[in-house]
Amino acid sequence: MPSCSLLGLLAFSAPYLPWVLLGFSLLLGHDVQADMLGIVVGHLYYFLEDVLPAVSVVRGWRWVRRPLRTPYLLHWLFGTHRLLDRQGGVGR
Amino acid sequence: MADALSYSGQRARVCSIHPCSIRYCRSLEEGSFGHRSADFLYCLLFGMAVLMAVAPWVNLMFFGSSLTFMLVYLWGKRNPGMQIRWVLCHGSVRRLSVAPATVCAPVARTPGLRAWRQLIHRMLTPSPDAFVQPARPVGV
Repeated sequence: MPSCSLLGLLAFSAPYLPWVLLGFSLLLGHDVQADMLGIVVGHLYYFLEDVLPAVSVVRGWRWVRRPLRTPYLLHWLFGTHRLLDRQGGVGR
Repeated sequence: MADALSYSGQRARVCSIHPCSIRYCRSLEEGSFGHRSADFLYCLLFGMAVLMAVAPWVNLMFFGSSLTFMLVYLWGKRNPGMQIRWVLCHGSVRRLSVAPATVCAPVARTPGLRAWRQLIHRMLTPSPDAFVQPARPVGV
């Protein structure tokens, strides 16, 4: 960043950053609707992509292994489909 | 629709939180989405689809900042050990919004496009063979 100034010396961990930014918007009197919406959508993606697959492995749920698996078409577009084939069709 | 998603509105410019967020989006793209451009694009597409789906019930004009916030949230969740100091960005309020930048960034890295760029570069610059003198016959 070209110009960043330190407000204080208090540090917080990264997961709180959206909430801190939300607090800033609230403090400055802006509309927090967009920020809240972003947090909700971000949490939705995080849940479907990171939490649910891990939980389904532990619980043995076969049908929800990875709901947001990237379509093969996108992998083909980006040239990573060969890697996918080598892994046996499973993403990651 | 693309306009609504790529423009973050006056608020982001005034608030100037935006440039800071771009940094985290970039970090997310290079970190947990490193070498997984397709997944990153799908993540963005998912975010756009959900935002467009809830748009009729939300009194908002532009969703660029929501998309940025989504990426910042995801970055925070995937880097829980990171410590952030109370930093407020000021000055350098850019007119750029994050959506085109983040959409373009993975695209610019695809091997296919790189090949195209190299091809165009090669067409524009004279090939080294042009500078090589034709070999003279021996003994002349």
